[in-house]
Amino acid sequence: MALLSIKDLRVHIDTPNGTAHALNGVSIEVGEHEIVGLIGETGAGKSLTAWSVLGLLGPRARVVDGTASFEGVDLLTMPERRRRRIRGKDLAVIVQNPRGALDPLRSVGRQIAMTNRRHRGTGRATAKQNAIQALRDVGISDPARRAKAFAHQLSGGMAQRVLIALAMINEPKLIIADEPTTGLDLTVQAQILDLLRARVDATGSAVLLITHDLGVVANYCDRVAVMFAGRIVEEGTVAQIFGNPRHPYTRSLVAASRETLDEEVSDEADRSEPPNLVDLPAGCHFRPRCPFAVDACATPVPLVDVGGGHRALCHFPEELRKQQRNDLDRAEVGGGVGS
Amino acid sequence: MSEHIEARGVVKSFSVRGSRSLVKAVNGVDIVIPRGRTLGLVGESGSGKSTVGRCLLRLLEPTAGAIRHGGEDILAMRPEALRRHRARAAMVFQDPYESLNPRMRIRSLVEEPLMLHTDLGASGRRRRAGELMRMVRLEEFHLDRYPHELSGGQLQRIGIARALATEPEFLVLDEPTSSLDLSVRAGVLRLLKRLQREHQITFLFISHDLTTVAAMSDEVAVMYLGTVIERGPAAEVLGNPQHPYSQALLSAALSVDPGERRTRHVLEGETPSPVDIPSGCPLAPRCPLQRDDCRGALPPLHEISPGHGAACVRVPEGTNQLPATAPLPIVTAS
Repeated sequence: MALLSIKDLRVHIDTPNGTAHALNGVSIEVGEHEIVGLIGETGAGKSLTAWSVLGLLGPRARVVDGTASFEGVDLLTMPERRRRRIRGKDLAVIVQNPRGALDPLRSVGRQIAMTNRRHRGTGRATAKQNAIQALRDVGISDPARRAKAFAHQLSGGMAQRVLIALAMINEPKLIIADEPTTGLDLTVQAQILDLLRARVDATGSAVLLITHDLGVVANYCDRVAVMFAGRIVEEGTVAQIFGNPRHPYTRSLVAASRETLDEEVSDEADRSEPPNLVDLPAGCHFRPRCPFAVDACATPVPLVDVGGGHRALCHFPEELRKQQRNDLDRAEVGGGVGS
Repeated sequence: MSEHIEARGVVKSFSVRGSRSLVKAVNGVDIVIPRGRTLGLVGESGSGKSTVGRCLLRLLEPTAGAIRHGGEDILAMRPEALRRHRARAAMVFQDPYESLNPRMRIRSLVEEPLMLHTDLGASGRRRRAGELMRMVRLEEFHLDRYPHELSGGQLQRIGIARALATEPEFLVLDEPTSSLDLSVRAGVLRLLKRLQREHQITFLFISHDLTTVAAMSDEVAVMYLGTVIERGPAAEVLGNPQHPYSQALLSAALSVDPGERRTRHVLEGETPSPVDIPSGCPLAPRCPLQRDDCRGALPPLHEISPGHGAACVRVPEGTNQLPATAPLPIVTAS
């Protein structure tokens, strides 16, 4: 059984322009020892998926359907009191903007110790020692001194490490990490992701890693789910998604990440408007931007298993593979003529 | 002269409120960019790369140094001359949502620089706005919309259209694609390249994204704590980094091809604050290769190949390669 199993999650948000269909049937599974990447453009619903699962939706957003089972129990229907006992203990979260997530009026050591005492019932002195150890574990030098620091005294990278220590203090089974390294410098990013990966491998905990950085996914994740307009449009292992993308949106993402700008491709008009969630097109939501769209794409889209747990939400996942092969052939012919 | 933008010994310090100490953001940087070429300026946050960009446009007054644009000394310009000069050099900012007034229609945003710097009348501005939209490959109906109705990529094209309105010769692009989704990033970069080619515009391209810098730049300069520690042809610097800091930085870049994990070089600790910059090589306190002569004076750029230099005392003897740390084993799901 998967540690976290989100099934057919639908979330609506009230906006002045009508009801936004922000999540339209999201299903993701995360198992032990796994880092699952959740990628997609701004507004695709990545963070919203996380907030729904954590029970932290704002007043205008509501879950209209679906389940999110954590160790077999549905998080969405359990009373908030019970959810609160799980959050911060077995289910932890790391958010973007770490300084904003820390309490500005309490030292970081105290915050970590409080979390430990609340959920594990440790004594004051033990919790303090645990907090210092947690800071040491995330690679902070001189942790006893750093524990006395306040959020504003920390650099971004240091604050993010504190947040990870806070998330790890109760040895959670699952960490939801929402863009944990966005805005951090490359060298710091590498340190933090190395740390997360090492924790997962050593303890069997799992991570749902929300990011828009495909380099992070390729280097640190086991599986990937690609989101577009509130749906998972493709999922598979890192090798499947990067090596053999079957959904046109994934293909465009992967191609964009490898962009070298060498070839003289003409720059086309930019029609990259995000989909209007209040008035989504029927059938495939990617249809207006899809270079391969045909009439049939306006009919309900099937989730097609293309083998080995690799699934794509597309009418023509096989077509894309043929297309790719044609592209390769053409490239080879072109190269032959040129040389 | 062939050098279009030429800055020598640029220094910029900021005073700290309530203290006598100075933040030394830039400590003697030389920048040379030939006309129509791109210099990529890379470095981590706090390295001073944005400050250099702003000094080149004289949006900040450098504390010391000389800056020439087409041979003209821009630091000597009087206010009126500087105002006229502003039409010849412009800036594109990182986050178009932050840098464009959300209450102005796109039309007013695009026409604003025309009102400030040209004597075009209303109909002339209208015509030019339409032209600019075609240049950045946006349909004209967007002119009547508001910023929130556009995607990040489209909005950054508006930022570019504004910068181009007065036909500048020099653009400072400060992380122009960092806030954009991957799917539109390439389009914006391609647009910039085409505009550069068609109009012979000189670029200073500031970014921490090494992939983007590699795709855009002719030459690359790497900054650390206010100093250029390595510079040279883009392929040389990014493909064969010589300064220990450049080696560490490049080894932290993540390839999008799973399984292709390169050796990792890890530097101890964090970048020190620019208030107390170590004397000598700024990297020395964190560098595993540091030795006594790193602490004296700032090392000069030692040449490795024509045009490629690194400010490390070990370069001449070839002992400047960082030891590799083994990459983490990656567990892949079966």
